[in-house]
Amino acid sequence: MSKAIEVNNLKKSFGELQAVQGVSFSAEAGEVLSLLGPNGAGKSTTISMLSGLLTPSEGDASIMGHSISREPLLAKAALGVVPQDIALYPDLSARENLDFWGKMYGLRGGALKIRVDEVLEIIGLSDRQKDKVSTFSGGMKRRVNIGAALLHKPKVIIMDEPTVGIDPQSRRHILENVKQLNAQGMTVLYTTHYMEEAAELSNHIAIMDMGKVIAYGTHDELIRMVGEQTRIEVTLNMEAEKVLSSWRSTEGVSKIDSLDGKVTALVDDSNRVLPRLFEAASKHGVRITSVDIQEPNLETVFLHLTGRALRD
Amino acid sequence: MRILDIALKDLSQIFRDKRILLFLVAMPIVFTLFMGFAYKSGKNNDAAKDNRIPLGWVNNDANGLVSRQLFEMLSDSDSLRLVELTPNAVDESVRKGEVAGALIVPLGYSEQLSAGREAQLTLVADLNSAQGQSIFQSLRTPVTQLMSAVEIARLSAETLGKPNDASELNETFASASQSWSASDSASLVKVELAVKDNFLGDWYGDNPYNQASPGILVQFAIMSLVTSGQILVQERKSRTLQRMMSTSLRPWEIIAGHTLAMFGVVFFQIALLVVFGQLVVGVDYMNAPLGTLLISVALSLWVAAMGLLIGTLVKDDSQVVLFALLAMFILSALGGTWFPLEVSSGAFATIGKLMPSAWAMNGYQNILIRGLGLESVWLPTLALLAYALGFFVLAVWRFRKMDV
Amino acid sequence: MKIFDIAFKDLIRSTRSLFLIGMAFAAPLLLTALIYFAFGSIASGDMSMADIKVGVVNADVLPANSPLDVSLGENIRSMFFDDSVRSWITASDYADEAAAHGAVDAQEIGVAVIIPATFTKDYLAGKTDTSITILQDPTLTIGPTVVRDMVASLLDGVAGGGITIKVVSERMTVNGKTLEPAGIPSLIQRYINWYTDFQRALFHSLENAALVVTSPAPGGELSNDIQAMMGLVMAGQLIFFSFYTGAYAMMSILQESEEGTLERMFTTPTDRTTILAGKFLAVFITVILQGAVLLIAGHYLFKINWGEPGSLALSLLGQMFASVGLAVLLVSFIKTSKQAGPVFGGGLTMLGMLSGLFTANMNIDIFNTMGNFTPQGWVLKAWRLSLAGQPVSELIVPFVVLFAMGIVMFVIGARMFGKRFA
Repeated sequence: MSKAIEVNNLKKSFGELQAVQGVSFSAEAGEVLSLLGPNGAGKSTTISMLSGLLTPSEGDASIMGHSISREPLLAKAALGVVPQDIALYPDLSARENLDFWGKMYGLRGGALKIRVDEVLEIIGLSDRQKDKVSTFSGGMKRRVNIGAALLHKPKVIIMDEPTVGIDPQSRRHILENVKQLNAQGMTVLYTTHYMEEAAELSNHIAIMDMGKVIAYGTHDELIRMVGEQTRIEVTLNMEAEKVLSSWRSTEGVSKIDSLDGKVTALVDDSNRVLPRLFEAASKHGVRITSVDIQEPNLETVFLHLTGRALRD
Repeated sequence: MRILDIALKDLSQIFRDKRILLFLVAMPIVFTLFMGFAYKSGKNNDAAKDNRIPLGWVNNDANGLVSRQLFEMLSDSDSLRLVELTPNAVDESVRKGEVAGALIVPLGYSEQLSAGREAQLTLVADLNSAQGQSIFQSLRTPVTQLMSAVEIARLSAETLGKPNDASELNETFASASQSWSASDSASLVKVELAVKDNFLGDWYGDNPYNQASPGILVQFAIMSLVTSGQILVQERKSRTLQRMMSTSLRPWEIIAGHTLAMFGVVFFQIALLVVFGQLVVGVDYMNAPLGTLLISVALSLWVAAMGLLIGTLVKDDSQVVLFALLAMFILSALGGTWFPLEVSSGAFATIGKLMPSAWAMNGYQNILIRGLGLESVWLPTLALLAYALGFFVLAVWRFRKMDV
Repeated sequence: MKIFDIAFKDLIRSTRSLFLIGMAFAAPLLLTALIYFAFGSIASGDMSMADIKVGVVNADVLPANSPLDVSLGENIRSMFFDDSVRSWITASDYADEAAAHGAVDAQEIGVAVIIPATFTKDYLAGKTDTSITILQDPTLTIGPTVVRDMVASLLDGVAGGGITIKVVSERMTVNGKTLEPAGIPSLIQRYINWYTDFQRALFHSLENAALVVTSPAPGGELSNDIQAMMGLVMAGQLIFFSFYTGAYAMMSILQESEEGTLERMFTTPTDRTTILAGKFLAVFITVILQGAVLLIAGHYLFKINWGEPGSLALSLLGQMFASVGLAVLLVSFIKTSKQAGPVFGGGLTMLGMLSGLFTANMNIDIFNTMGNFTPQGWVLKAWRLSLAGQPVSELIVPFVVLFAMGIVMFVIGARMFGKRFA
């Protein structure tokens, strides 16, 4: 059986800028695949190509076996896209919006009516269906925004950073929505730069940076890449290059990174390594003002792979 | 002074987009040149060629004495040029504009008149067109004189007791016609333009820009209503207005600040156009420099205040354009820029003359066309200032009641 | 099918836009109504003008031994004070030329009629160097012309009386008789009676006059002057707002792009050509609908006869092609909907002015010439013909021109859209 999403050496450049430099990944039917990466990693460009907004400079991808370049309409028919920003007609009611988008996906007549009713039920807005979208709260708009992508029961749904800039409660609601949809058998491609979301939702995660997929695997597989290493964040009372260089040569330390007086280190066993770090610091007359110990997570993986923190 | 701070902030925002200069300066200058050129070329053409209006001539009364006399009178006309037509060609020629109208002399015209019966000439023309009207007016005197000669012949023959003597009638008609040719009442009426003795400006003759320059200037000043109306909308959109309201600024100070900024913009535009008019196309604004300044200041204040009022009445940008365009059209129509107010009916003209746009035109015309001095702009200036104050007060009042 | 869905959705949105409704229907009707009332009501058939304010300086004195009862100056003066002209002429006396000049400068009067002291004497003596001066406000044209015609026509009446006496006495002599002085007044009276009737007919009841006027249109009867004028005035408004509405409706594509719904449409299994076609269709329908509503409203509110059905249809269709074409072209040049306000407002107003839309009833030559180069100008030409009752055959040329202009602008604009949104 073919994969739900198959991306093959996809490239896109805008003039000199190579936004996507040969990306490949795939998603099995029925799974949630997250694209994780910082802003500017090329996630949105990749997704725009998959949803037919941009033409790839090179490479191809398919949705449910339909090539996006050779059978774009079939590919799109199998796909539901939830854009990052609200893309609805504010002066039309929720129902009118859903009606219109249903037609754009080729639904008509009775089938359309029934499906709009169902979707209104799913997003919990049956009682407000006749109100104009412009009168809705931010969270309600988001729900309609998602609903409009569900009308044609797509096999694959792409959600582009659906939780950016919204309150924790709405965010939780959306995450639950994604899980439900997935439970109903939809394949979900989810982009985010929040590693917690990726960890919570995904079967597989592709980490992107600088236009490339730099790691791919299940959550656990990715964590294992950094081994059992623990991430330690230390604050010093002064800039001290000497301390850093002596730490680098300390046994059990595999990586040291310093940013704004904050030092991040990957270590094998914090219990053993930490006393040595304190010792070296006091030898150079530098005081450690805070210590934060983190068990390995996707953040650690990203740091491990790129030498930079995920949030920038 | 915080009012000034607001104004300076507005100005720096408005002029940040350099394209505004295109609207403020380049377009009105191009239009002034164009309109002036259009008037001028119209004049030149007239002088170069026979500009008498072509009148079709269809004579079904070929050998008639009266029709022959009419033909001679019209052939001498200063304003009409006869073009002989066949009866069938009349409608076509008029429609195509080859002739502006056609005069049809009916069969047996002279005979009917000689016999003392009524007979009518027919003018085929569109009285709604300027040329049609001109033809009608130009025909009135010759037709009156012709019919007068016929009447005199009849009176004379009756007095002689020979009312039906054809040869007597014909001779008397010829004699009366000749007398008419010798008389020239129109030359006894001399028309003069009421301008200052030493003043040469006259838009009919010397400088077409005397009309085009102030006309475009006022029209474009009114167009600034859009920019002025948008100021408050933009402030509200960026939520800076709300922030401003949370300071100790009083509402009138906020409105005054914005009004001052728009005043600056409009006045800047007017000043450039005045300089352009004076230096490039020779419109004598400097005939009364202080007068020009007063009218320009008052005009700018009025536009600024009215635009701000529009800003307090609308919800978004597109509504600004709607209100501003409506205001512009109404002001232009009523203010006499579409058609001279003298042709409209009494009440309309009276209302029109009260419009601020009409006052502004009046002020400039006093200086440029009537050649009057500073004393002639006091009234228009005061009227404009009164409008500015009125709109300002309304804007502040609306602004206080506005939900931001 | 999706084309219609998109068009229908756009139309529904348009009906919810107060702005579009205002611009498409309310504004043109309002402005036409304004001008309608400006020229008095049709019901009364009264095409009244603003009062002509006339100042009279009559220094003329009746010379001794004159055959006249009163001086010519007094005759002219009383003509302006006569009850019959009171509704449209307001006359006042001034002591001398300086006072009258001052009054013209102050715009208290528009025209001053200045009659010199020896006018009657010089006139009767046949001197040609005497004259009545008409001093006019330089910004006026119509009032002064009317006043001048009135004076000239009065003098013509006097001249006619003189010619009557001269000719009759000549003919008496030829026939061996003499004109008795006692017979002169009755002769002059008869002539003046005739002259008065004749002038009245020429001014007030053209159908009985020596000169009748008919419209050049074949079969097209010239309706009431004011109705014909209103037709042109409303045609001007109709055209301006048709172009505005077209441009504004077309702008919804920018709006959609800003709202993100255009991109979203691209993610659905819908052809881009279909999407563009749907948006264009909406604009077509909007413009036609607006035209139809305004034509009907104009017919019932202002009694405008728009012309023969075929001619009317061609004009409306031509208007639609031109305004949609220009709309597509204009919007393809604009980047954001925010720019649209000034570009539409300024650009279309200017084009409208140059094409003579706002001065349609005055038929000004310069604008007619300019109109040859603008779509608006050609639409106006088409309406002029249709309003004049011209048959369809006469409308073919303007229609073809409009169609061609529309297609060219549409193709250029659509290609630019294609580039931008593909």
